[in-house]
Amino acid sequence: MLRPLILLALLAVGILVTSARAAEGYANCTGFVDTLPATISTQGVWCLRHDVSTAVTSGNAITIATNNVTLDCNDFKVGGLAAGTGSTAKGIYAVDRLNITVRRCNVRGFRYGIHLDGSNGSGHLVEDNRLDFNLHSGIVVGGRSNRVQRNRVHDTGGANGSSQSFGLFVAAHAIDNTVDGVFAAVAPTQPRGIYLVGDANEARGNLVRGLVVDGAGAASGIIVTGEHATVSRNRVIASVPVNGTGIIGHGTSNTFCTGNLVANFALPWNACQLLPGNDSH
Amino acid sequence: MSRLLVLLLLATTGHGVRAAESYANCTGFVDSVPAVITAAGTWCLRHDLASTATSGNAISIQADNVVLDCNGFKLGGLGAGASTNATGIQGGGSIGSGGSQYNVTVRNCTVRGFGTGISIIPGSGNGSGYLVEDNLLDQNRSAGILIGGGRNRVQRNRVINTGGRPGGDSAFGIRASADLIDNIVDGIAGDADQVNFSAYGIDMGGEGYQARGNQVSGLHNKGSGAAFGLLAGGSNVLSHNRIVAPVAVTAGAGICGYQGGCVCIGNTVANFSNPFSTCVNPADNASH
Repeated sequence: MLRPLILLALLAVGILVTSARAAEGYANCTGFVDTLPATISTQGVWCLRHDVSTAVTSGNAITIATNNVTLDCNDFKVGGLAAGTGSTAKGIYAVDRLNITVRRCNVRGFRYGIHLDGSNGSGHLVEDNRLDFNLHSGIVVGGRSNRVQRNRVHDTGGANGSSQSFGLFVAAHAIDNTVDGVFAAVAPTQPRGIYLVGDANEARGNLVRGLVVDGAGAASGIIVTGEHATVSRNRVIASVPVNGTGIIGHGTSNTFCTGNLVANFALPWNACQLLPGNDSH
Repeated sequence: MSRLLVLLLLATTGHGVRAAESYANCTGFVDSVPAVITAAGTWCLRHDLASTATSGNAISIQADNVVLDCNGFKLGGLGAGASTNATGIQGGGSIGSGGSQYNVTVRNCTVRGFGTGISIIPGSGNGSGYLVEDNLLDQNRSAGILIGGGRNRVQRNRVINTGGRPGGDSAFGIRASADLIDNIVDGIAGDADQVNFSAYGIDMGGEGYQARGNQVSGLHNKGSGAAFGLLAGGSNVLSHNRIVAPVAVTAGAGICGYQGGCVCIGNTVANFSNPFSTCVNPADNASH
C-alpha cells in the first residue's frame, strides 16, 4: 500500500511542477497569430498559441507591418516545408521597421526563415529561435543596432538553382548562436556559416559547423564585410578537412579577431588583425 | 492502479510548452501615465503607454523593493518633442529630499523619446541594489540610462539613437555607477544645428566595478566636442569591450581616460587617436 502512495506522491509533485509551467499564460499578448498568412499592423506583443503552417510558395507567412512589435512564438512552429524546394516564401518578414523582436519561434522550410529587411531598419532583436530546413538563409537582418543571439540554425540549404546558402546573414551583433549544417543544391557550392555585414558589429561566442562543400566549392565559417568588426571566441569546426576559410575578415587593419578556434579548414583565417588567443588545427 | 499510474506518467512527461509572459506575479499594473509606484512588489505593463508631457516622470518609483516589468511593451515620449525634459522611468528618490530607494529593478521595457529614458539616482541617502536589464532605450534626448548609488548592475540593454536635443551640447548612452555587462550603445549625436557636441557612449562612475562585453559605436562628436567610448576611472576593470567610432576621433578617448586607474584587458578600439587612456596593467588590448 505504501509503495503506490509514494509513487502517487512523486507523480503528484511532477504534476505540480508541470502545472506551474503551464500556469504561464498569454495575458500579455496584444493579439494572436492563429492562421497564415498573417499581417501584424498594430504595435505590441503578438503571440502564437499553436503551430501554424502554410504551403505558399511566395510572399510571407507572417508580415510585420509596423514598428515596435514583439512576435513571441512560445516555441510553436511556423512551417513552410510543404511548399517544396522551389519556394521563395519568407517565414517572418519585415522591411524598414524599427524595434522588431522575434523570439522563441521554430521556423522551417522557407527560403528565408526570419527576414528583417531594409537598410533603414534598426533596433531588432532575434533571439532563442530554432530555424531548420530553410532553403537559402536561416536569419537575415538588415539595418543597424541589431542583435541576433542564442538562435539555433540547422540544416540550411537546398534552394533550387542556388550554389550559396547562409546560416546567418546579418547586420547585427551575432552572439552565442549555433549554425549547424549549411549546404547548397548546385555545385560548386559555397556554404556560409555567418555573414556579418554593417559596421562595428561583433560575432562572439558562436558555433559554426557542418558546412558541406560539393564540387570545387569552398566553405566560409564567418565572413565579415563591415568596417571595424570584432570576431571573438567563436568555434568554427569542420569534422573532416574542408576547402575554404574559417574566418574571413575585412582587413588586417580593420577586423579584430581574438580567441577563436578553427578546425579542419584549409585556411583558418584571413584578413584579420590577429589578437592573442586564436588557435587552429 | 497500474493503468492510473501509466496515465499519470504520460501526463507528466508531455512536452511543456512555454507560454508567453504571465501576470500572475504582478502586484499591480501601470495602465496609464503619469504613474507613481508607492508599494513594494512587481509592477507590470500589459499594453503600450504614451506620454506627451515635457517635464516630470512618466513612471515614478517611490518605494523600496520594486520590480517594474514592462513585458516588452513600450513607454513612449516622442510626442513631447525633441526639447522634452521628461523622464521615462524615474526612481531612487528625489534629489535633495534625503530619501533613497533600495532594490529597484527595471526590465523588459522599450523607452522612447524622453529627455532621459531611465533614471535611478538616490537622493542624499545611500540607495543601492538597482538592476536595469533587457531594455531598449531609443531616441532619448540627453541620456538613455542614468544610475547612481551603489551595488548596481546594468546589463543586456540596447541604447540606440541617443541625442538630438536642440541646444544640447552632450549626450550619454549609459551613465552609471554599476557593473555594466553586455550592453549595446549605438548612435549618439547632437541636433543638426548644434555646432559643438560631445558624445559619451558609457560613462562609468564609482570604484571597483566591471565593464565587460559592452559594444559602443556610432559616436558623433562635433566642433570642439569630444567622443568617449567607455569613460571610467577609479580601479574599475574594463574587459572585452568593443569601441568603434564611425570616423577618426582625435578629441576624447576610446577607453578609460578619466581619472586613471582602470584595468583594461582584452578590449578593442577602432578609430580613436587615443584608444586607451590612463589604463594601468593593460593586457591583450588592440586598436587600429
